Amino acid sequence: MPPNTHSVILIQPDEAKAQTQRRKLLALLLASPVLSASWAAPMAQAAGAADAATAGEKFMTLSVFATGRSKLDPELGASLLAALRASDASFAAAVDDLAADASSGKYSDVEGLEAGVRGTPKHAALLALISAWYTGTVSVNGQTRFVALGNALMYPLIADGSHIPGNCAGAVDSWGNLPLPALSAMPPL
Amino acid sequence: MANPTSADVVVIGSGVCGAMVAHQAVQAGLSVLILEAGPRGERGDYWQRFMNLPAANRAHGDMQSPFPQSPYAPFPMFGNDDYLILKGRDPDAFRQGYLRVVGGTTWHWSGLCWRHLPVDLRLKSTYGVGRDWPVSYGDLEPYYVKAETEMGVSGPSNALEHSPSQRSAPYVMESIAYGTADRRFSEVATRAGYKCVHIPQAKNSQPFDGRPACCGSNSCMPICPIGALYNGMVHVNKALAGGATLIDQAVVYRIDTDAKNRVTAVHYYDRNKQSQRVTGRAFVIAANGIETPRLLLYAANSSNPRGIANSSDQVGRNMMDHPGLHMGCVTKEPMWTGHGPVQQSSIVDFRDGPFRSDYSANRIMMNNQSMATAAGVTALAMGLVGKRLDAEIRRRAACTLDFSIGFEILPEPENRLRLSAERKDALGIPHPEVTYDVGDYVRKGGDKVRPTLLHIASLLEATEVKITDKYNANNHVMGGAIMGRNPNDSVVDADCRTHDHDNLYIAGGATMPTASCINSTLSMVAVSLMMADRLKQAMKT
Repeated sequence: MPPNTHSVILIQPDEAKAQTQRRKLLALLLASPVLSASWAAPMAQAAGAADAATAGEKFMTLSVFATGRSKLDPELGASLLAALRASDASFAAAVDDLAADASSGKYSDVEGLEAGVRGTPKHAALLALISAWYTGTVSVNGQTRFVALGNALMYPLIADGSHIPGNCAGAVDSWGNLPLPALSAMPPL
Repeated sequence: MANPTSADVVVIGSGVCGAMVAHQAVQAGLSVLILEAGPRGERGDYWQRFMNLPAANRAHGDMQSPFPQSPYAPFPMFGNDDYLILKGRDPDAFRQGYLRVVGGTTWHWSGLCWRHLPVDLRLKSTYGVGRDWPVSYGDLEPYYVKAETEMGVSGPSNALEHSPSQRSAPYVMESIAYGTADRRFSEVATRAGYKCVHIPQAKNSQPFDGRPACCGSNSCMPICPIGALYNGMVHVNKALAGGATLIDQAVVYRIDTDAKNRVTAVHYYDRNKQSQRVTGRAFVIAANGIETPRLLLYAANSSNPRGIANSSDQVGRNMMDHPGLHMGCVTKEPMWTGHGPVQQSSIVDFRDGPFRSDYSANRIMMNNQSMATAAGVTALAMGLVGKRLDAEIRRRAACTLDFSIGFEILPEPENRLRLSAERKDALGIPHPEVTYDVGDYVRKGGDKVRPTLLHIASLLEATEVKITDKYNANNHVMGGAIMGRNPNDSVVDADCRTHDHDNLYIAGGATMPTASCINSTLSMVAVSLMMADRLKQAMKT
């Protein structure tokens, strides 16, 4: 039996919808030069938006390197970054450091980066970032927080042999004569 | 419209057993009021809450969080549960995950519809252990057929796969096809000489009773997205369509009796914590194997100081489940669990034999739940990154297998539910407290099955073979108000009528005198349908 040690933050459907709308708004804000320019007068706000945009870009650049995926959903990235920052006050600084490491040319891939930062405070942040992208879940103050399911990176890895439970797979008995995909035949990611 | 305050039959509990009884009663022309402690929810909301679960909860089988609780009807939650208090030698073996909602725990059941073997009802006279039922398999068999028909059970037409073989009617529809993992496992097991059968289950292999065929969501537990899996709501809705009334968030806490010790009324707290009173000609308690004895004990009155129906002091005793072990392993070749329903195939060679005089029977079932999420969580916990992480997730999703082994616990009076002296719920009603020990009969059965499990793992050329050493619960709560002929050592008679109150009946697993080693719901429903017939006959006189 599973250990009964996990507490849950459930996002209700309405809340999930509202969060999606807030995320879209933030993404639009950060992506739009017109909006950014029109909000430039209040210096503090402008600085905050610029910082957020820079932090977001760094996070996404680091995420591409850390996951090995060339294309990641920026909207999901914004949500994960917000949750990761909420879970660890030092996460933002760790992202800065890791992003610098990743772009230094010193490491050719994430395996090298992981080995290079092992034993440093940055290591936990790197694994937390990877876990967030793969599971769509972030631990916040000892509680696990759902962020995404369909875009979680672990599922495309098994798309030829399984699916996300809860979604219908097909007509009854359509699974009756399925082949057994080989482990080596990784689906395109 | 004001809630009714009287009915011919008052049913307490709207799970599958209460709903079945309510439906039978309205079909007989009786007025029926159903009182349910929990709230009424909708499938779409439950499904959305499941899909929004964090990965760790999905990976570890959280079946409780999708279902919101009423503040006045708590039930065990995944995680740090403090509702069901557990004590004794094996407390974790009774860590149940039942629901208090309209429709009951069949919202998140696997749908498996096993029958007891005929000998399971004669355990004492055949093997000298446990108890005999006051009814025979022959008495119960027509109600097994009726239960299968009402629920829409799909099962194998091949008689060689029937367990037991004694059936008077075919299954309602053919089994749902095996997915890749069940197909491979059953082939390997059968080739090695085991009897591996297609488990009958209340899931549609074709449209039936206004519900669609299975779409292979592989989320039967905790929620079928489309209703291809039967649950108690089917008969709640049928009872309502037939004229029954349902009051949800109605927590029954008091039972009135008259000079002849007949039940005259029950009292419940409504959703506003106001006490209400309902009278009836007959009363049926169908509130789950834990909540039924809890209510009977809490409702003690001056004429019944040990509790309602408890002159024998057997209420809350003989608590049972199917103590379980798990074997996890990683197979050499991909199996790809997750296609089709979550549980499909089982080895049944050890359901019966002379050994039962010495140790427990068992059934060995392969779990077909998708390992995708667990694979990801496990591989990440290993600290892997990059291509090694991707490859490990894929390998574990494809090759991880879990086997669930269920054992038959004997009815023991010391496995007992009491009212907690330490904690009360928001209505001031004591929490249920259970003292539990699976017993040497089960422990010896567990020792005996290990070589068989290792053999199965070897047939699959598996590595990382791990057999749990502590028994787990299986949410098949039985006992607490068992049936028997002797009023001194049982709570209800062969009609599931309480010995102490001739208009009070109990439906569900609480009445079952022995557990067998297989999932209990079909037997609970069959017994409840038998009870409903007796109730209807009694109401005519």
